[in-house]
Amino acid sequence: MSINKSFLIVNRKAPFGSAFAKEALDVGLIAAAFGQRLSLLFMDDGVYQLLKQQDPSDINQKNSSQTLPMLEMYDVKDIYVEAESLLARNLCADDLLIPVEVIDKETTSELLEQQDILLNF
Amino acid sequence: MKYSLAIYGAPYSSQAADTAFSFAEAVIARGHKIYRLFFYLDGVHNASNLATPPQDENDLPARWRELIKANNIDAVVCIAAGLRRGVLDEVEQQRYEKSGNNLSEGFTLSGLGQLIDAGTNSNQLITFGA
Repeated sequence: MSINKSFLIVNRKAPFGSAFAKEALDVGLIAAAFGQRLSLLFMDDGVYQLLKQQDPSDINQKNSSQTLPMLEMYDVKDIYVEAESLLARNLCADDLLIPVEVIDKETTSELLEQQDILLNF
Repeated sequence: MKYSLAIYGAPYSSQAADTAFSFAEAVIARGHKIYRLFFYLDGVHNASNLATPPQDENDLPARWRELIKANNIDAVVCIAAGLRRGVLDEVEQQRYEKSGNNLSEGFTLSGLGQLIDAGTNSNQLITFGA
């Protein structure tokens, strides 16, 4: 794997109700471990993946959000959240578990265009 | 062009796997190469050799087997996603002392690094079923 490409993982689904959020985070951690240039984008219901104080024990699920701080350990710093998705859900950056960069729709489009590889979840 | 396909949809549950299959056929028909098929999330069910659809329905798992064999395609099933959902090869059957195995011939169980590698070494990586 000598070629270094930029990867963006796009998270668009709620943390529970499907396996997408959990398995997308697994891909992120592996991509980071392989030393790829990695960014993460959370938009639509995907912003709920970042909420503080998640406790899915009543639905017999693991709390994957506890793994999110590991991204920083892997030196993944480019974590973006679409502003319009937050606003539509009455959320703000303070509600989120990890530091993120909030970007508007237009900047989101630019971010998508800049990437070599998009991984949609 | 070298293409890789990431397939997240199970056969018979969504259109994603059928669309991925048609796309793979088109890639080959146009003279391009498939670098890798990577089956993840519910897509791992495409690799089960126990799927038994009615005779008048498209047997997608069988068609994947034929396509992979005829074109010598690298077809990888994420091992963690496969084990969770009961898609095992003989090695994993023995390791976890299970009653059987069902990974279709031509597929291999491997890690998520193979998805990253597919992105790195293909001209295009296309997702089906997100």
